[in-house]
Amino acid sequence: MGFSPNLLTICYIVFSKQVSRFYQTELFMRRIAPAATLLSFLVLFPSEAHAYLDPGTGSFILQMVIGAVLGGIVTIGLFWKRISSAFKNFFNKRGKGNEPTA
Amino acid sequence: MSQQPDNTSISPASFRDPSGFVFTRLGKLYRQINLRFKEDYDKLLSSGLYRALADDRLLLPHDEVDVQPMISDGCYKVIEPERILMISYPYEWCFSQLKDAALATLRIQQKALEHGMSLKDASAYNIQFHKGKPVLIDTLSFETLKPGKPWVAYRQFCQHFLAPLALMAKKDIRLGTLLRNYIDGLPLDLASRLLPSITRFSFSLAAHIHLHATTQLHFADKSKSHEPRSFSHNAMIGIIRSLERAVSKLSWEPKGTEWGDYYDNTNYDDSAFTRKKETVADLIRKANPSLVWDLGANTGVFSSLSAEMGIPTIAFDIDPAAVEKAYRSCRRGQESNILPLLMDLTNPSPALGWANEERMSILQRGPAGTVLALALIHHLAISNNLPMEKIAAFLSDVGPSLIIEFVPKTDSQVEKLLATREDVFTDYTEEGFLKAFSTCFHILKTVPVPQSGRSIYLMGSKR
Repeated sequence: MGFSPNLLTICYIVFSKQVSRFYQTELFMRRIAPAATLLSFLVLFPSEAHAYLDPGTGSFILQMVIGAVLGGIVTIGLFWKRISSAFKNFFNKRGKGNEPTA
Repeated sequence: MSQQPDNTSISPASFRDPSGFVFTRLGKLYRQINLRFKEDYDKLLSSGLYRALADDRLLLPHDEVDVQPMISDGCYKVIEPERILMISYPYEWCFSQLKDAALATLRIQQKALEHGMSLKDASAYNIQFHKGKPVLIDTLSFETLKPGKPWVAYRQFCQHFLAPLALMAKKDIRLGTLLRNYIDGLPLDLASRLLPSITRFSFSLAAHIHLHATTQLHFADKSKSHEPRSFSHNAMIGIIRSLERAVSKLSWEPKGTEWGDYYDNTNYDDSAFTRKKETVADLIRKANPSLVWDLGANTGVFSSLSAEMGIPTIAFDIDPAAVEKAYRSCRRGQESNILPLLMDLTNPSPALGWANEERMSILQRGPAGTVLALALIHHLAISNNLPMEKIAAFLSDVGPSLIIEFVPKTDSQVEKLLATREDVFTDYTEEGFLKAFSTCFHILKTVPVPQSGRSIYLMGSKR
């Protein structure tokens, strides 16, 4: 994979610094924060929690972040497989079509 | 342990998961499955996951049995799992044992995902070595896959497997024993601090340990139990594959440690060594045990004698390199009768966990049928200043019969131990040895080892 090795760590540090600056603006405090809080409650909070093991909030959030990246790679991989197998099928069919019949 | 009149007791380690528990009755071990786990248990069987895992020897097979449950209230079924010969713990495993256990856990999770289920925990204690292979022993570890939710056991996997493996591979092999201190796995912030900075440039270690530790600390005082709806199935597969890559890439080679080349530096030749092996094999046949504990087994040369006779053998050694070599050789030769384990006999595994009852001490997991103690006594008596009487008393606690080698002061190995210190061991003579051991054992047979001045004894405990 063409990953810079420590990309996630760098992204995380840069992202959290910019966000903390943004947090202090008036626009954020008055408008965005309450709406975001409400939205996050709707989106993130559990409808039910039966697990006996505490997954840990940080571990949960991290999985979402790296899961998005790694899941993307899996999706691209599957997509690529489909394309390459479609090509293979196409050429195989053509190859067979050109074979002389007995 | 709660004991009932009919000799039934709940396993003291079996309390974390309300889905069920393990209990023993009249020497047999059962697992009670509670009604709250009914749907997941039925799905484990009906989805074909149980069969797939049992066929691949990744899950301990069981039979459903018609016996009185331990607690009738809320009981769905009682199962009897195949019996594990020797329970062992991650802090007693060598690097490759922990690595194989980690990879088995991830393979189980991948198979579970294929069958619409998921592991709800990834505890290293749920894996045991059975017939030479790591298997999941906890049938209750599965739940129906909840679409959109991340892996609930991700943190546990990183703490129980990835962090200790990374520390053993990248920092120092001895850090594996930290698991004895942290029985719910290594705290990731500690692992992150101990790992060399260079590991921050490995994507998998940066993400699953360093960034994981940072994120944990950042969200430590934030609200719990977020459940996103946007965690795709491919994200789950991506995480599992990434963990598998991370674990697979970690490696450690056993060299440059205490006993690495022990057998190349002994003071007797090949024919004497062959005679010694024949003598030991002969004494094992005489003792005719159903289980052998080889204490100070090194790479398991003498353990293989009993293993070849079909006797299950636990090969204990203090040196991670020797245990690693023994495990690799068993894995290569598909030797399923030997279980190599890491053990410092001068400080053996204690009882650990809640009320000191969750993890058994080494003696609680006995008794051994026969104890092998070859080329061991001088390390205990001289390197550790242990009086002979104490050694004899301990060994008689371990098992009813003992095959022990006495190594005299004239032996080059003992000379080495005494080279840099004053010889205060006036009782360290064959007579002193026999006098001390006669208090706990009957001496049944004595065989001298040619060219060495050593003798091997077969003894039977007086208890």
